[in-house]
Amino acid sequence: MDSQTDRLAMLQALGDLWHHGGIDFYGVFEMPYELMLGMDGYRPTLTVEAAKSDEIALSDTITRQNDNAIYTVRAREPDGTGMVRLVLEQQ
Amino acid sequence: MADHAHKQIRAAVVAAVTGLTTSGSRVYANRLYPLTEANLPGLRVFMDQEDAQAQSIHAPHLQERTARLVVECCAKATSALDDTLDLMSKEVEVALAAALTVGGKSVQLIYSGMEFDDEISNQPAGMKRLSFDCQFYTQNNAPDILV
Repeated sequence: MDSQTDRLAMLQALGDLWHHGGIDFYGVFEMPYELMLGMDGYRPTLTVEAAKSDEIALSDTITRQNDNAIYTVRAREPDGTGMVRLVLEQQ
Repeated sequence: MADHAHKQIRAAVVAAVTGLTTSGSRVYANRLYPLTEANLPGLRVFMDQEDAQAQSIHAPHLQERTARLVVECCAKATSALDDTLDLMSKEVEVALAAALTVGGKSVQLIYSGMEFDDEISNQPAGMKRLSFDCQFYTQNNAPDILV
């Protein structure tokens, strides 16, 4: 992404509205299938702006606005271009 | 001809660990297919490897075999995952402490260690891999008959 404006535009176009600590933000949610130790699994992630991800600590919960689904943030995977993929756990 | 001794031993282990408190009837003698949510918490039973030594030079010869039998305790949980896996392994170790009867012979499993692994998932997934050494004898031309 070239700029924060570009990143925000992309997140608003492709993402959902989420809620954390009284603040709304956009993120792109994905939950691909993954084989986990020989067990069926899914790996939910939320791609957000790096600046936003700095405000979210590991073990914090975030809520998706459209269905109130709650997830706990378990890991952060920065991509080096100003975006961070948060690895989530379903609550 | 009977089943290979490996299959007989595996079947005896499956029978011994079926009906345990935590894993119940979710016991699978198969490591190829993924376990689904309905299969958890569950156990996978399989043989990982075997060493064999001839005990004589003439044919057919007696073989001393030591097979490594593996029981994987598998579970997914958002809390107390380690506790669940520890409980499952306790139940398995107790169930396999007594000798098994395989083909009319007594076969003792010797616990030889454990490996643990877990992964972040929609629900955290964890596995405790228990290894047991299993020594038995067959003739090289009759791997289905324990002697």
